[in-house]
Amino acid sequence: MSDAMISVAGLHKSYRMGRVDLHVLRGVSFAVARGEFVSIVGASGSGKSTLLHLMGLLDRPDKGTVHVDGRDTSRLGAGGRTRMRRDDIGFVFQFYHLLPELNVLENVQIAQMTGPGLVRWLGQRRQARQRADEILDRVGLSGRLKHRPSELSGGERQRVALARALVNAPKVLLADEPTGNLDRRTGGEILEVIKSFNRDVKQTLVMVTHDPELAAMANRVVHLVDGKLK
Amino acid sequence: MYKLFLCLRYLRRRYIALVAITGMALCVFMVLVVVSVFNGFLDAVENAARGMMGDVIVESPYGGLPRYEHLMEELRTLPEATAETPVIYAYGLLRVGPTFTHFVRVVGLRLPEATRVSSFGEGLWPPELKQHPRFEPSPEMLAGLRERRERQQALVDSEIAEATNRLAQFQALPPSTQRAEQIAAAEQRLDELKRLRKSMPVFLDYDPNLPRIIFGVDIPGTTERDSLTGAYTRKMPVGRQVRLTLLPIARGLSVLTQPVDKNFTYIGDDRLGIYGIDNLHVYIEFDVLQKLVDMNAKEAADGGEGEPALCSQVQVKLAPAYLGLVAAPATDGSSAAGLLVRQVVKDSPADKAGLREGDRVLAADGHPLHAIEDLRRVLTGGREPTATSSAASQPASGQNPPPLPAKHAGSELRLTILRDGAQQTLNVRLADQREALEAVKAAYALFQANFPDAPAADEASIQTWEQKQESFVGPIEKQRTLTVIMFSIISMVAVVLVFAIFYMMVVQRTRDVGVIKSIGGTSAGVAGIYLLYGCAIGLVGSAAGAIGGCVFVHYINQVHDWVGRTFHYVVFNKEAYLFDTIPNQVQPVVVAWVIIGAILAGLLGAILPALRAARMQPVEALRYE
Repeated sequence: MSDAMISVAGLHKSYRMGRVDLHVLRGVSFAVARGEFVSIVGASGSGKSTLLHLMGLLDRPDKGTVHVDGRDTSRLGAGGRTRMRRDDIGFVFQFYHLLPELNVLENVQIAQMTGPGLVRWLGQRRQARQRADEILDRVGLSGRLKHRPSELSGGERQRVALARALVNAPKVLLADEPTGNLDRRTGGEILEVIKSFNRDVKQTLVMVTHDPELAAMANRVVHLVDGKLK
Repeated sequence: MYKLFLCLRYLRRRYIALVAITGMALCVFMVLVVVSVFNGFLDAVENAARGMMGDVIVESPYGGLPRYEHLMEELRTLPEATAETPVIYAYGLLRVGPTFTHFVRVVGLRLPEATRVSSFGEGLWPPELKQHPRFEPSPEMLAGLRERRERQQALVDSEIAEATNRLAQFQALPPSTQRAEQIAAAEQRLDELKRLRKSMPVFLDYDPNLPRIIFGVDIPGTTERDSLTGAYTRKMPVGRQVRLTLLPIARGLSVLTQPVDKNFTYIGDDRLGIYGIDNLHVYIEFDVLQKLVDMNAKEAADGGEGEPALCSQVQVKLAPAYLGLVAAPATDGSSAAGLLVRQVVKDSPADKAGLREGDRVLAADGHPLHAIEDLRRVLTGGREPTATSSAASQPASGQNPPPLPAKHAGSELRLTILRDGAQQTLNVRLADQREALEAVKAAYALFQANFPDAPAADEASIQTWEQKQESFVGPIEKQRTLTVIMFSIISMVAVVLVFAIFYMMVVQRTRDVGVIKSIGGTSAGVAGIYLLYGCAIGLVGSAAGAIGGCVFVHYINQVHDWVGRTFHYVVFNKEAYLFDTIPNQVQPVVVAWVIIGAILAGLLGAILPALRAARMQPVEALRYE
């Protein structure tokens, strides 16, 4: 357990949909080791996105715990969770979720700005810029820094989102159907980039997908059926 | 850091921000323009009202105030009272020519005395009359008017000559259709000029046997005012005879006499700046009106007491600063003459400083006092008191000493007094003019003790101009309150506007909130973005609006004239309003308040959306469609 970068134990989560309680997760437990690439596969509605959201501290479980790098997140307050989201977790969404008013570089740098205040930011601006350039270069966007999201293709947008998720060097990267909105070829490319981070910098990686073929590229595949692991 | 950054980006790249800023700017603009113009109007009305009657007005409750000459003499023992004049009001019918009759309020004035007490005289026309405000025309005035008449006539005459000449030229040409047209045009022009020459308002020589009358400038039928420029055109020649019919009812209801008729010579007009007064009042010599309305002194047929002369009111002009003692020149002939304090007004600055009845004031601020006039000069400023009573001791220096500074409420006055044979110095902190009403009351009481036929001190009506004009100034103050309420409503509109725009923005961009939170933005940070945004919109919008408003108000008259010229649409009809120009002063305080209000409105509008954004779980926000 001590080697696990992120682990969940006995997670339960239900949503109210109109009059019925939808029990999405029914006791999920598993761990991801440091540097491991795990994909979670399941049919739509199986609760895989919910699981990922809980792991990414975007939501709170009804029951169960999430440990990140050995720390029990259920004991953290809102401030601690926010700090952990900022420093330890990177999240990539299916629909990119870029801020349309910002250009490529700004969309990446906004993640760097969430931490420091104005004075500290001015002090470390140059360094931060270097890091952002570096990461954008890695995802292959160094030529498009000043473009706005609306001027980019879907693949490029996801690259920006990926760079934003990784710019703060998180301990774990969570990707929610990162290729779900892309055609097969572009999706493959994106996945290649994601995988390259796992390979080169031992980035711990959890990916949710419904495509068994993509899932197979991971070190380990976890199946989620009806809110339980199988 | 990201708060500021996002805020700036949102401002620059969201069109909706432009809408909010424009809305804010328009609100600020509107509020600023309306407040400035309205305040300007109210101030102008108040100032006009202030100047009308002097600072303090003494009246009798029984219609006529007797022994007013003695009252004024008594008032002169107040160092604060700088001028005083009696006035009579009566009602009458004014007739000009065979057709025009107008109901007027007739004011009996002493000129130029009245100009020192009230603002009467500042708006006199013609300029010669303004320069020498007297009912008795000065030789300069007559000469000036004559010259003006000759100039005007000469101008028209030369044009007539020219037109005649041209007509002759055309007539000399061989006949053609063109010639006929030219002749017709020239004849018409000549006709016009001749008519103008006839109707031209010219100065007629005065009938020296008639008393003279000054009209309020807006007495109907005498002047015409250009609705665009506000300039007056006089339709009546100076020197014209008019007829006034008065009903003398001043001495109570005991005697009802027949109406009296009198012819007057029109010598000019006065403009106080308040239409309701300038279209009602005419001004004649005090003594003339007194006799006409039967308020003059009467000797009893049996050689007894008779009846004293009456006036309607005594108007008093006061110095800006109030001391509070009634004094008299010491007349015991000792070398240290000074002023004898006859009475110290209770609770006055003099009283508080410890002055007592019987003290002898030797000097004020180091200037020796010989007459009350000397103390008055120290109080009101002006030239160094030249020795009036001790001319011999004054060195015959050719140069003028520098003028003294005028004292105001709060100024210090150092009095050197002699009490029980010892000299001492007292410092008096002077009070506001308004409190000097008490001094006037004290002087009145001293006067009434000598003249028991005057109304008792507690019966006489002694009021400041504000009290006297309350019926006039009061509604203005009410209007001011009304404006404040109106602007609160307008401000609410601005707040609601900002709120609506913000709410829309936040709802529209709920997902952004989720994104910012998912990458580590705190709830407070997200709320901060929107609050900062609200502030920024308030700041930018109000700055734009304030600049626009200031510029607009500054050039409001030009804008108005331009609109009038271009579209022939006159919003501000100068015939109907009190003033020539729309007030164009912007008070910095108003600007500051409006800007602060706008920023607060921005903040207020942003608070609810900001709280909503802060409370959302990231995943909720992300899922939001």
